[in-house]
Amino acid sequence: MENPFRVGLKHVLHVEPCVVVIFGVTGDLAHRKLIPALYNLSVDALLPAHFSLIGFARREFSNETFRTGIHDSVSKFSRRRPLNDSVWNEFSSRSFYVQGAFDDPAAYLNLKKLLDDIDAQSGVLCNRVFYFATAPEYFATIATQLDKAGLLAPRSEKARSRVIIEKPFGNDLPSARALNAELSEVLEEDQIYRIDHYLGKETVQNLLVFRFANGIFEPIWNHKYISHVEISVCESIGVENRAGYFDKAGILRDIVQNHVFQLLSLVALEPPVAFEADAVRDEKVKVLRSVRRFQKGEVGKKVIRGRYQSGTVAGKEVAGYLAENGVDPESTTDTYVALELAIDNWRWAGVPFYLRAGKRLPKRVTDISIFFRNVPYRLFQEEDVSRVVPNVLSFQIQPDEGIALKISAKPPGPQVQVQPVNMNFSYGSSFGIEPPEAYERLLLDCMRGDATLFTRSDEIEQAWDVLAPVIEAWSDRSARALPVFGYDAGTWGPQASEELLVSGTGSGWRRL
Amino acid sequence: MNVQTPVTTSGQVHVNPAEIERELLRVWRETAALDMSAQPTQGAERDTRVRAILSNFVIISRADDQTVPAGHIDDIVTAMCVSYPSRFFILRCGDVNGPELDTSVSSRCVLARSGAHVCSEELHVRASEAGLRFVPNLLRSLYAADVPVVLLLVGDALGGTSASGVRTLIRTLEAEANMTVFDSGNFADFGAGLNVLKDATGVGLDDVSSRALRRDLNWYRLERWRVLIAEQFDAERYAQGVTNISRVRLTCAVEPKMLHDGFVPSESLLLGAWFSIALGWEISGRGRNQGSIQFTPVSGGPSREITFLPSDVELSAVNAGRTTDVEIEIESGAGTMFLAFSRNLSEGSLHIATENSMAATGVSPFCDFSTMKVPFRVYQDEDLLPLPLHSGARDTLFPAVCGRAGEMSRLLRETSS
Repeated sequence: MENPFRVGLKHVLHVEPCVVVIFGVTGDLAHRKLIPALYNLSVDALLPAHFSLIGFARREFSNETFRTGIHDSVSKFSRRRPLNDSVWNEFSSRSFYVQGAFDDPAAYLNLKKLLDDIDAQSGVLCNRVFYFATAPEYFATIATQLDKAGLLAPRSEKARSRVIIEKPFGNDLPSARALNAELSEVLEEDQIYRIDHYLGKETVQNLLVFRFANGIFEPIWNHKYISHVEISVCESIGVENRAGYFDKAGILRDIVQNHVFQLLSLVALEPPVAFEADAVRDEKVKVLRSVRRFQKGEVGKKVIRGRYQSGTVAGKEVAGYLAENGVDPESTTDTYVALELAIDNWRWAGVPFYLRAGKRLPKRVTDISIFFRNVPYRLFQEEDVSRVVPNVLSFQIQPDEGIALKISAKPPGPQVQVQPVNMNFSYGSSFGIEPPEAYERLLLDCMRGDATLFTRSDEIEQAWDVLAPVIEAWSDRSARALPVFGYDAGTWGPQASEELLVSGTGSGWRRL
Repeated sequence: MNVQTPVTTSGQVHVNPAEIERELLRVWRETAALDMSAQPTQGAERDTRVRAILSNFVIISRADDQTVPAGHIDDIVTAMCVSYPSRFFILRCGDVNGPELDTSVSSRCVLARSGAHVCSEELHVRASEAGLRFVPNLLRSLYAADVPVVLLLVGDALGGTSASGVRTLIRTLEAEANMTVFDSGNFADFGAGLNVLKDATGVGLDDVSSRALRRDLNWYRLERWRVLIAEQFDAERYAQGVTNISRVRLTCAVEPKMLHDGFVPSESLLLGAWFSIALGWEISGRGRNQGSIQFTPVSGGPSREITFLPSDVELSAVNAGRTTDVEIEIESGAGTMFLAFSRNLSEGSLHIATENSMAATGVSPFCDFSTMKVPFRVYQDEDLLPLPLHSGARDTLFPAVCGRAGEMSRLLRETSS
């Protein structure tokens, strides 16, 4: 029987009773992002009344020490400070800790007992979300142990177990396939939520609203009107304390395979038949399948690999990559990459997509710029041709989320002149409310069983497949190896990257 | 920045919209000039102010309305400037001491949580009873184009001696508005308040032909109650008991005498009406006890009851008129189950307790007892206002609940007298 009290509450996000279990709860991700996100949801009364948090890690903690630890996380990193005592006390009282190694079956039995006790105490069968905030080598182990403890099987029509997996999901196509195969032995695809926190950002979601809720853009969203697209994910920081991981991965695996390709998919996808998980993800997969694969010998021309050297960022001297702690002095790891991609389909034929990601660039900014074709005829003959610039529609994903359209206008005065001006829509201004953290949205979606903003196995595999020729070409360390271009920290990357754009569009990267 | 610049002050009506627009432009140019001349703090971007207009937001209050606390409208505008920046029209109607019509403009910049300085513009309009006739055309000439018109009735805007002109004004403005927001929590008598609203606007709440969407802040205030109650009945043990709910007791923070006289605060009345609609109960008459109403389930079965009780907590500005406790009684062959919700307004929490009397099985009477506490903060008007503004759909449940609450209110009044 349908719950009659739910009638008229469709607009309110409905989260079933839920327990979130975080594996690797003592790690940085849980400390800085996950615990504060759950607390923020609690402050906004978005968690269900029957909600509990369980931390699982190797360290020996009691419930009390665990609660002290998460108090520290929330105090430092929650966007809803100062802490609300009443909300915190309740949140804390529903937080528990299970100590154990990820491969220790006894620890999983303890976890099962605690989960069963929570169900019994609340009188409902809670959904269970298992968050793998661990190093990737533990993903399969944890999934297998959960399965052996009987924690992955549905306990009723409603009470389901779901698993959230952090990136990196594999480090190339074969390893991603192997991991998918391992997980699929114990989990159904609809139980696996592969998280890419970029998809939780408001502007990224707004890309779909912008494209499909505005009649004026979709008719011109194609090769007839768009000359090229630039997607930039720029960081001003270096490798910080992640050198161990980063030196093996590089920026191509760390940023491009996931974040940048997600942005590319959302810009280029066809209208989905519905705003539902599989409908949206089907279209994203089609985009990745349509990306033209690099042929032998093309990588050197279409992909630029760079590595930062010493320089200055924000007025400070910084070391070059090879001098960073924990980096192999012989490393050829990429800290910058720029690619030119083609999408072979009806909509995007002949439109190059330029993607770049880098560390130690002048500022932290993520931007998508759509360059429209210029006017077919120069009506204002007297005007300096350089002033008549094409229209550019840009989506700034971070730090200040917003959308801008560059148009040409006549400055006041007796002469007919043309000057580019910007029409800006800033989230911070039009909606003064601070947008929620990406992890809040994604955790909430997983608790609700909505996978729209999570990546599917075939998406992951297609993304790796696109990059397979690059990974193969870069693995060559012989004399014929492709160059790693140096760039000074605090600049916009190697000159070769600028030349890639100039050769394709006649001008360099958009100044961000 | 919030400096009011008088634009027109005249015993005779002399309103020049162009002059008002010019003044607004001047205010913004000054702001822009300030921005240009300001030195950005080291390492920061230039701290520019952004003018944003999402709606024409018309705030209507009566000059003689004692129910509106000082500074209340200012608080609303400040909060809305952040969450829903608009061109605000602040109408003070029926001012007996001032001129027929008096206008001034100002801008207000608020540092939003996003870090941006969001600026809205305000047009203050004071009109005497006679001057009200000029207000609609003045507003028409000053509405920002392409954005919706929202009317907000503050306090008891429709009551009082000066209200007849205000009612006419609202009727005229609502014909061209997209949404009217009111707060039935301000109605001294819920049923009578609804009638006044209907008389004033010419459209009942249940009339789907009305152009403007009607939004009651009191209904939004109840949303957290509704969600938490609904959530309990998602659980299998209660889901099966929905049809066996026999009694609902609602306790409200109100003077016992008020309840004795049949005046139930609007919040509790709406909550009670919502229970009866959700459960498919029809009113069958007054209950045996003071403040109770009998119902008959549409699907048949024994009669049901909703009772309104006075709370024994000390009345305060925070809890006055609020529902403090809800107790749901579920009877079945296996015994009686109680689901009790107790709200702590000062702490901002709700305590949920369940008791399962297993008398029929001969086991201990309270063998199953569990409690939990969840956040339930006190919502101010400023917190609630963005909710209706961001939702464009017609709410079909609300008119039914309102109609039922009106019926219940009448019955309680009749039986008490």
